[in-house]
Amino acid sequence: MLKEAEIRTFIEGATNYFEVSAQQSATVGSPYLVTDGNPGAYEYTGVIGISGTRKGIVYFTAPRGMLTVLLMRMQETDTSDDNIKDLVGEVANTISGNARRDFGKSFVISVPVVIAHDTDKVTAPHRRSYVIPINWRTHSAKLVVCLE
Amino acid sequence: MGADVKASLKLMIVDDSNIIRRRIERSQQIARLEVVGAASNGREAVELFRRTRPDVVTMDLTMPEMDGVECVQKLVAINSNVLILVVSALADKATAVDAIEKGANGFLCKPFTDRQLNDALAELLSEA
Amino acid sequence: MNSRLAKVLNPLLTPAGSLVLVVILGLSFVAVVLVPGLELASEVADSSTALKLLGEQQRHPTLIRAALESIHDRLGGRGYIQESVDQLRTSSSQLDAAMHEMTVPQPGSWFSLMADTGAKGRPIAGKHAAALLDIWAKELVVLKPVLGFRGVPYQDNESTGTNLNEGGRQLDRDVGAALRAGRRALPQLDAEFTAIAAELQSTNLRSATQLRVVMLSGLVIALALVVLVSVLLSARQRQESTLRLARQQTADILRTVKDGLFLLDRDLLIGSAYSASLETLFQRKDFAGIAFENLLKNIVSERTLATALKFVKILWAERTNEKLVKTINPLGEVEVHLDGGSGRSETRYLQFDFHRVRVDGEMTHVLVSISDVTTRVDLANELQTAQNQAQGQVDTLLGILHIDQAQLQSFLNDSNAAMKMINAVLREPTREEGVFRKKLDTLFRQVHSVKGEAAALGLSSIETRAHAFEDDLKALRDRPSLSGNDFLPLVIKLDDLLTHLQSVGDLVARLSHLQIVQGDVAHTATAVLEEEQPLQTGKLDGGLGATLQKLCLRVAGENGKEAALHCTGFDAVPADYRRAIKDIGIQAVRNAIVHGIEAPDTRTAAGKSRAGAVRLSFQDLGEAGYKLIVEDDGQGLSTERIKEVALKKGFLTPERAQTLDTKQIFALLFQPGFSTLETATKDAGRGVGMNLIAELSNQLGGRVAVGTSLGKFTRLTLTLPRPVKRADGADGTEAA
Repeated sequence: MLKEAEIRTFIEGATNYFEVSAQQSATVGSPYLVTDGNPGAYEYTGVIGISGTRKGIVYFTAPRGMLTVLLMRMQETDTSDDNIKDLVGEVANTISGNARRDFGKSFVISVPVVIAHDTDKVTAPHRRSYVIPINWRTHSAKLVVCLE
Repeated sequence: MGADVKASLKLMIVDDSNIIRRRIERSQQIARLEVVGAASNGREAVELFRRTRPDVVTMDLTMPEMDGVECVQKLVAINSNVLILVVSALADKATAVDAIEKGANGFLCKPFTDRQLNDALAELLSEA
Repeated sequence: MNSRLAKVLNPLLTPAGSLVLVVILGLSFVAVVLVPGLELASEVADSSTALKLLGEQQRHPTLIRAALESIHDRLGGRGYIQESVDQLRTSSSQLDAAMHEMTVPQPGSWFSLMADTGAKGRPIAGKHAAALLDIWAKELVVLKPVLGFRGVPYQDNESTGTNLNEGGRQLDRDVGAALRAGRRALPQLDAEFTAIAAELQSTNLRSATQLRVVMLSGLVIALALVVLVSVLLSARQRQESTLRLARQQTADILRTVKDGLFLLDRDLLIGSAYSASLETLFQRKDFAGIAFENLLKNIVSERTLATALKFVKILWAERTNEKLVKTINPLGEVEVHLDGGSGRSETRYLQFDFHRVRVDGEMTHVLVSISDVTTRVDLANELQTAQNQAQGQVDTLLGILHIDQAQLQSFLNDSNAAMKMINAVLREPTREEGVFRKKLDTLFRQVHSVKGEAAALGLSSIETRAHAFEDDLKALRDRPSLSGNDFLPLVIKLDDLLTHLQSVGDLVARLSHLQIVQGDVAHTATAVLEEEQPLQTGKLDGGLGATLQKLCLRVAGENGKEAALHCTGFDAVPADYRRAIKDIGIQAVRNAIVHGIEAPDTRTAAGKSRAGAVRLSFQDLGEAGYKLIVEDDGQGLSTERIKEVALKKGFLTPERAQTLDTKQIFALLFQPGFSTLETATKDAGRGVGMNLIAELSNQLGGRVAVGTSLGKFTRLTLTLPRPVKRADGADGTEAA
């Protein structure tokens, strides 16, 4: 079972991303559990595979609107589909990469896999996942942590 | 080195994210640098490095094909004077130590603000 | 003015400054005293010699005149002249020599020689030299014939006696001429000599005065030097004692400092000076000269060791700047395993800090400071362990065996539904503070009902978990501001509760399997259970009566009370209401025992029976619906006490308290978070029970009424409508 501190690490990674990259802080909605192995997704999802001492996935999923605004806040004018996919992968990568600060080198993370438009393809490897809503401006995204 | 020194150093950007590449290209320090190429994985980077001979490199660590730490080692082997700024989300100390030991000259942790990027590049260039 | 002086003086008062001062003073002593002093002294000596010389020569003109006159007289008296001529010769030759002496430029002093100024110095006669020479040359011209005279000036004649011969006559004429010339020249010489003497005297006087001044300033400078040197000496002494003190202090620091301190040289060997605490930190001795690698080997993981060695090498390779180095220190908090002697291993956490030591810009050592942060880390771990312990409690198989299967299954279903409800509440998108707070109230009610039932069934592991969940909720309620992050511990506990319920469910499933295979054993267990609980109202009420009985016994026992529960009519509870009635029953019974029923002694003193009575009755009113009455014969409700608590907890303002009627006061009981108990126990005090009753009753579309008589009874009357066929209530929300 995941420990509080571990999930907090991911949450901090996510909020920190907004705080630093967009210079605008995000808030966290109340986290909840998903027990049917289907935590759900928005239009764009960046999935990071985790291996080593912990196994599973961490993904960040967000609607297009949020990612577009985030890109613009980062002075990026090109808000094409490709760049949005790039961004969602980068966010996922950063959140998991930052987690190594607490988990150490034995927390091995993969290159991000981006799933766009096809939300059904986003599935969790285990039945139970933690879902943390991330609210930023008027938008909502989700951070999903599904680790053994 | 004054800010008016124009494009005296060649820069290669290695990052699998287009957004990050473009952010680096937007940095204030870029006035002193001439972007000679961008690579999205380690193998591409080594190849491009041989051809363009950059003086400064920004390097992602988590990339397909060849990861950044290995790439740093390869680049330093080709040109030991190259200045490498690692730009990575991997926030653990061991990774940073690894990269520095292999020859990187700076470490910028993702996510970063424009200012942090600017400062990191400026500090790197001050060693040139 | 003073400050400006101080500004100038201050740097001079440092040891280095004083040294400079000494040199300056020494040089100025040479320049101001020695050189001019010597110069002046030689000047004084010279002029004295000159004066003496002059004094000697002053008599010569007179002597010359006397000699000439004597020659003249003797020639007249035909006397012997040789003596006078000799006298003249001596005087004039001496004078001539003196003239030469006085008019030739004097060799300069040694200083001017050394300085090679080219100047030959001035003659003694000074400006009078030319006149002197001129006068003397003229005098010499007239004297020369006289001086050149040889032989005898007389001739003897028989008749005239002794007469001047030719030479004599000439001599006589020459002497006469010399005398005539001398009458003018010799006084001139005299005058010149006097003038020169006067000048010499004044020079002498001036030089002597100057010499005195020089000597005086010399004295001053010498005094200053003495003072300065003694200051310097004492400063040096002070410095030495300061150094000694510093050395002593360094030693003291190394001996007493809590941190481990040592220096690493380029070969990564530990230096000879290190703090004593290093021995405690690493539980070994003799660090001098050992390699850094050997210090860490076997006490840290191989991976950490490898990273640490790389890191220290980076420190030495000065390529990497200090700031970057600091950020990548891998030994910021490192776990070490020490051999605590006697073979047992001890785990500690150490924090290493590294500083480059530079001498004149050159890196000479790395200063390593190590502190023991075990307490800090332990404290953090303790919290974690405490949490884990709560999670670790698992019911014994026996505990579950003792519970009626149907009852247990019903509980598990209800609890799972409650968990789903909790999760659904958490899941509702929330951004505002107010909504977060509302969530807390709902969660409280849900988990409280689970806790209540778990307690009733004696499932302490679930009860403990639910209680911990409530603790978290309570903590959140007291928080001045709320965000989603604060809910994370709840979700973790929810996860734990779910996992635990699942494992209990699994166990139950395995047990039921066992019961099929070994039916006899299970039957026996159930039989025993039924015998123990004669009041059980049978299976018709879904085990509700039994559950409440158990709860009543436990709560009474734990609160030092005695109570008997009487339930009637529960077989009439419609299926749709079963869950709610059970929850309400549990809360109501609990409240009745904790708040209503008095302690046995109090009851006896008041003339009541030791054991309190709690009555639950459920009645079918036909079209009018149902009525649930919960009544206890306890102390009743005190409106004053309720008001007092409400004021204290901020539910009321004093002004508002004045205007409340009894009904309004009782309504306070149903507010979330209201409780008359000071500290919460498992059974009460969180102010959830009554709120849960009101909420459940509301959900069913019912009403709650309170009746009480102080010292006699408290009665809750719930009126419920007949159930309408609803899609579903609480459990139907989007649940995962």
